[in-house]
This record gives sequence, structure tokens and C-alpha cells, in this order.
Amino acid sequence: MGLKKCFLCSLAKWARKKSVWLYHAPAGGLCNGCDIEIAAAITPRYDVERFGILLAPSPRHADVILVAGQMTKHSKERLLRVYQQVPEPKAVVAIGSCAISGNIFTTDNYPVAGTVDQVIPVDVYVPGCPPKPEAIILGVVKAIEKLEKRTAESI
Amino acid sequence: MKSSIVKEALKYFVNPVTEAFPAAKPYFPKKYRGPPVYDQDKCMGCTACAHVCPADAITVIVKDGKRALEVWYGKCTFCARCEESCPVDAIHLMEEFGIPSEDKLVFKSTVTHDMVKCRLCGKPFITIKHAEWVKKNLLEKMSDVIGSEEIDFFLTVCRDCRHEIENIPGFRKLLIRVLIKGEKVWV
Repeated sequence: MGLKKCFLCSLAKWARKKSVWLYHAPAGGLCNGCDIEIAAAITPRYDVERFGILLAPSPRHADVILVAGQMTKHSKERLLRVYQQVPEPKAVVAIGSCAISGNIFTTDNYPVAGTVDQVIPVDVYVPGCPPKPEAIILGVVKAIEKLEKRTAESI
Repeated sequence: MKSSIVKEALKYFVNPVTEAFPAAKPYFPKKYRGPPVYDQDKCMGCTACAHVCPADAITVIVKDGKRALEVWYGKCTFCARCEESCPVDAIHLMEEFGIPSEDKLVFKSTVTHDMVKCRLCGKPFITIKHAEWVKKNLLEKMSDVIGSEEIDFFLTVCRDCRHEIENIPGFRKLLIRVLIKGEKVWV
């Protein structure tokens, strides 16, 4: 309990809220539409860096994972590894219809290992095919709220 | 064409490129396709949208004599096939984006309709609104062949019972009459 009041912890809390780093992990079967929209969301037109949101080159630097696309058997283990590499606290945002339910690829297709939330816990779902960059930003903002809660729990 | 590009380029020397997103309203291009939403008043429950949906995002559930149509845009491709196939313009792809949520079953739009029961086997098979719509269209196009009462009489028989057309002599007569009238089309 004493840790709650320490200066460094409150600094870490504030920093986590104000600078969220994303890791973009495509989950195999997807048409790249959602990837392009994620790329569009971090361009100067939407300029998410004013909120402190930034794309991280490695999952070890990230706070939030953006998962787009239908879960395939090949990428299942890779996505699990990416999820395990992200330090706690972490949040997962599923982007697009494919990540939510499989869309036209369905869940009983032969290369498919179910939806994303059957493999890793998903916190926020962003609907759309592909979702607008605004929707992705709103989704990340919702994930930040979850991150805050988890930070409070972990400290 | 080229002058428009120059104008577009020059615009950004005056105003900032960045959209003030949370403050300002987002920009929607022409013919933007957002999440599909049903209109309860217009919809008649004919399930044409469910038949054309490539992703099976629209499900039809018949329960307790009611038909429920449900579009889950968490599975939708936003192709607008439902919109173009709807005979009464009851489903529309809205000009908005789906708001992210923690529960994926939130992305839904539902309509429910009361159904007519089959006169012979007692199974519910068509919604009341759909039956009225069929009757109205039949009267418009074939009022000289079929009477209003006759339509009421035959519209309350379900598809499975209608397959056993031999058992209903009145039906057979009606079919022959309609076939003779539209001879040029069918034969």
C-alpha cells in the first residue's frame, strides 16, 4: 500500500496514460484494408502523436496491441508470442470485422483457428470493414481507460 | 484536373492538414457505407437481405410466432447488398462509423414481426406485413384474374402445403388461370 503514494509510481501512471505505444500485429488472414487504415490513423491528417500515441517497432516497447484480421493456424503461435512479450499492464484492440467474428472468412474455414478472442483476451472491439481511422483512435482511447485501471491494480 | 491538385496543395499552406478529430465532426465521403440499420416501420420481414448477405451477418430467427431479423455489423462486409436488394428501402447503411465497444455483441440492429399461421398445417410461415405487401402487388398487376378474397384465401397456405397442390383443387384452377394469362411470358 505504501507503494501507491511513491512519486515514481504516480509518474509511471501519468506517463502510461499520456504516452501509449502501439504494436501492430496482423493476425494472418486479412486483406490489408485494416492495416492501411491503421497506417492512415497515424498519419499527420489524424496526428495521434498529439495524444502521445505512437507505433512501436517491437512488442517489448508497446502497451497496446492492435490486432487486425482473421486468426489463422500459422499465425496463432506468433500472435501468442507477441502477446506474451508485451509487458504488463497491456491491452488488446481487435480491429475490423475479421478480428471480431471472421467476416466472410467464417470460423469453420480450413486455415482458420477461430477468432482473435479465442486465442488472446481482447479488450476493445472496433467494428468496420475497414473501420475509419477515427474509430481506431476511439478504440485506442478506450483501451487507454482499461490500461489506467490495470495500472492502478498492479501498483 | 491539374488545377484542382494545385488548389488542394495550396490549401495546406493556409490551414493545417490535421483534422481536429474529437472536437470537429469527421468527414464522410460521398456514398460512404457505414453500419447497416433497420427501419422498423418500413421493414416487412421478407428476409431478402438475409438471403443476399455474403458474410451471413443477417440472421433470421422464428420463435413464438414471431420473426426476428438481426444484423450484426461485427460480421458485416459493408457491401450494401442488403440495401440494394430491399424492396421497400427498410435497411440503410448509415453515414457514421461503428463506435468501439468492449462487448462485441453490441453491434446489432434488430426488427421483429408478427407472423401468419398456415391454414392447413398451423406453422407460422410469413409475416403479416409481407402478406399485405404481396396482396397489394398482386391486386395491382392481376386484379382481373384474382379477386381480393381469393388472395386472402390462398395466401394463408404455407410453401410446404402449396407443394402438395394436387390436394387443393381450388389452387390448381387458380394456377391454370394465371398461367393462361401470362402465356407469352412463361411458355
